[in-house]
Amino acid sequence: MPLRLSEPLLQSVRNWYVSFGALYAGGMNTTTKTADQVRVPKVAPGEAVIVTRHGEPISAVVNIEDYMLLERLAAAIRATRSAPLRPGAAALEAEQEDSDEQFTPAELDSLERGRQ
Amino acid sequence: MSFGLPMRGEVRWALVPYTFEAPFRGTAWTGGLNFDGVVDAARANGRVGIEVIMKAKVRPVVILQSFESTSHGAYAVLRTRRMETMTAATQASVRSGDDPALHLLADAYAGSKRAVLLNGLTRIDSTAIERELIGRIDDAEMATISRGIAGLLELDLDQLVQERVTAVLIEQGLA
Repeated sequence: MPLRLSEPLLQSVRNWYVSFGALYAGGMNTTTKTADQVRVPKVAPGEAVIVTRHGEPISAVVNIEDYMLLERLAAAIRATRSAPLRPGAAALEAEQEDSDEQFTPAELDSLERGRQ
Repeated sequence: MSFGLPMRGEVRWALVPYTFEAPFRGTAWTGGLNFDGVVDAARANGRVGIEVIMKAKVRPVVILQSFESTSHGAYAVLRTRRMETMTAATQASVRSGDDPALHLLADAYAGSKRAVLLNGLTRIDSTAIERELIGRIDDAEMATISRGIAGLLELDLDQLVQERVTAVLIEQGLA
């Protein structure tokens, strides 16, 4: 199902990804406060409330489901970091060439088909 | 089966050189020489180029590149090895997927189950590749093989992933 985000939420996503380098490195630092410590509006999934000061947007309030979605997106991007692999003992053994190895009848048939 | 230029994901017979290593045998000297000996032979000859004798094996390979050019090109390939030519312990390791450098191909090719040696990236000329197709590996299995190669060659794909994700976000108006 395609992800549908409202324009305010889109804006908050844009803002988040502006500092993509920081996001890629470690994700967003979060602070948890109880509802009696701060007054925030209820926000439905897919919606966002932009808080302004002197007409300038300073923060956004989104539903916790949307926030978790963004966290998962960030974690998924971080998880793409490549890790070098090392060949094991089996691979090193398999690398050893055996000049005396014989063709199987099926291999000879396969090679013969290429000449027809 | 189709004939034509090698394409990514195809399994074809090829003449594949062994990894070049001392003692080096050449046409201008008898016996084997170490690296310094070959350098001395080249200097005595007055040219950088020197003719050496290499061992090779006729074996099925997995083609990693598709060239649209009709001229001869060098293709990156991976060697395959028949399962029954490996020791029991190595076969067990291949089947269990324990070793990141060995990938057991889902299908049999030229009548045998084979493992791809992901650590053995080799380039060979198109003239050393049979035109008859043995078989073809599907995109999903090629993606697995590609991931293995990237890890074993220590290719840093982080920047590439970051650039592509950013490009998609910009394309979708998210950044």
